[in-house]
Amino acid sequence: MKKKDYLSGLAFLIIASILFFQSRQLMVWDDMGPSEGFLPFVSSILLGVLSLIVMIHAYLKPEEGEKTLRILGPRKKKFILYGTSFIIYGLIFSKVGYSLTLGLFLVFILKVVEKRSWRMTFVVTAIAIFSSYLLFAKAFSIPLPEGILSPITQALR
Amino acid sequence: MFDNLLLGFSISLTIENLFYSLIGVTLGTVVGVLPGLGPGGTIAILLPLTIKLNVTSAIIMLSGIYYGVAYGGTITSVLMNVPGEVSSVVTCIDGHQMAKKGRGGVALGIAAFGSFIASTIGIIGITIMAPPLAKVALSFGPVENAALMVSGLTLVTYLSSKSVIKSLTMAVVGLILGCIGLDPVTGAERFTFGTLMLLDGINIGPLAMGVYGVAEVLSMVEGGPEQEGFVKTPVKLKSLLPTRKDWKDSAGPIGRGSFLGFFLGIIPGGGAVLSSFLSYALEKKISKHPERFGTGTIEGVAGPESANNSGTAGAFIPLLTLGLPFNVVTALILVAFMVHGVTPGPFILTKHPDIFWGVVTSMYIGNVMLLILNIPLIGLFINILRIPYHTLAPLIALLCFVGAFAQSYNAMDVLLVVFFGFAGYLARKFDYDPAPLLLAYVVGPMFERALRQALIISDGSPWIFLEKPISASILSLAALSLMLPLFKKAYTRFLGGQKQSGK
Repeated sequence: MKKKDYLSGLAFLIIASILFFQSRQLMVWDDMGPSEGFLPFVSSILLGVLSLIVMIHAYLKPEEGEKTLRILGPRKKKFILYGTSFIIYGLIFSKVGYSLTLGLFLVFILKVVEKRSWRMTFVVTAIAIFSSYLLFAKAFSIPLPEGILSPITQALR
Repeated sequence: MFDNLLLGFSISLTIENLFYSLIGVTLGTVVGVLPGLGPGGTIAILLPLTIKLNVTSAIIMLSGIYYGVAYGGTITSVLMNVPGEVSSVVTCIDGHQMAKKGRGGVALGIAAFGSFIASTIGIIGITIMAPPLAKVALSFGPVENAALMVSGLTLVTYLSSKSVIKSLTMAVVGLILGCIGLDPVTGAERFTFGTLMLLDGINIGPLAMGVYGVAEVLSMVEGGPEQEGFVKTPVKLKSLLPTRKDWKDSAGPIGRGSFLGFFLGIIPGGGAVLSSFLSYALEKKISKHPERFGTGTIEGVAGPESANNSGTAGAFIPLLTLGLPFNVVTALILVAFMVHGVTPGPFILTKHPDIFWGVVTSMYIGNVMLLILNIPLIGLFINILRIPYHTLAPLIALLCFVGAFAQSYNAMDVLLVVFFGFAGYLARKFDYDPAPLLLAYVVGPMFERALRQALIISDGSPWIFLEKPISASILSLAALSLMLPLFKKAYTRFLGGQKQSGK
């Protein structure tokens, strides 16, 4: 679809331009030969050229398929809710702590987004927290962040 | 060779390595059954966790996932007409039709047996070919290595996707991502934009888990393919065993698929996916009844399933002997080697023969385990498919988040995996294949090192790549492979023009 290729080509062209100017601040070539800026410089030019080819190719090929650009599919609302919850998870994970973040995440997904029953939500959440803690924190000794629950967990120890 | 195999078996038959082999092949089968995660995402998640294991056990487990996936993907292809893995796409064509005719069990059975035979042939191929290839590779210098890497990357982008330009674009993006951080020679900051977070570069884990795991979850949530539902198939052992006629019809396809898959697995961009497609095309071409393909013919299952398994074995040859991965999964296995301080390549046979032969012999054992698991436990694996996506999707995402955190216990990696998840999702939407990106990211730093060394040797002259005979041959072969379709197109047009003027 033409619009998709124009958009993606343009995006890569902008990225290539930014990277080209960044790579110019590095030494491309010195007395010994290619230096730290050589591959970044060449790659940014290549990326720019390829993005132009994508756009030219889109211009030359006949239009096929849908003419309207649609990025999101039929379950748009769910996608947005899932995506937002992923971003929030990443932002609060270390501050709030692993277990609490996971609990909030699963309750939100299963109850609010997927509209499952409370019983199923709590059962899945409880199993997920317990088994993942056992697996990652105990079996693999990964120091999962305790976050705001750390006073409680330390007191329990 | 016999002594080497004995050494290998003495390592792979320890209780510890048998255990990790079993974990690997079981996980691989489960991952192959479940749509969404894939071997790349699974290996990326397990990478940081394998640091606690010794290198041989880690590689045995991760390799088990890789060849186990091919077995698992068959189950959903046959029973649901949904490929669990890309390499099982072709199996949907005739496998699902066999299931509709009440022969789903036989399809699964012949796929399992064919896969076992093909993998065994593939592993014998590794055993025979790897040592002499490693000796040849010892004569490779930076010039030859750089030529091999650029040819490999170019061919992978060419063979792996419909749009060569888009695949090349992703490969270049992968090269750029690999440049982020401190230059290993001069220590200069590259593409860090003044942030501390990017000084160490981007970890492979968040990148792989993002573009494969989280992106897949987002695609699943947003609107996956329509599923026909299960075709009820008897899963008792007797129903899975092929008849004598089935064996007679399948013997040729299994044999041809095994050799085709193995040799395709060795070349860049080859591997399981291309092997299965080409095997199907070959069987249809040489069949006395090509019209039966697509209606449930056993040759349409036996050939591709054998090819995709021997393709995974073949893919290990360039990884172990040259130190070069030619697909995403072997790229991640290379990272696993490097994390443990071992560099695969021509010296692995002399410096670490225990690791090399331990991993190779574990493949024999792993394939026996897969045959034992797949035949009687198909019912169990089918039940895994009943897990609804609304439970599966957040759990896969959770694994990716924790796996990313486990890389270096840095919470920023969790945000990175979300970022790459969205990037991977958008890439798919705009028809960009993420595989060349990941491959170029892993191979990029090695390629840059070899390229810089080669140009230093030649005082900056690029002609050295054509002056050295091995390098010139590799580059010429790659260029020829890329140009062949253009020549073919031009020739077809020329013939068309001739016919018209002849009228």
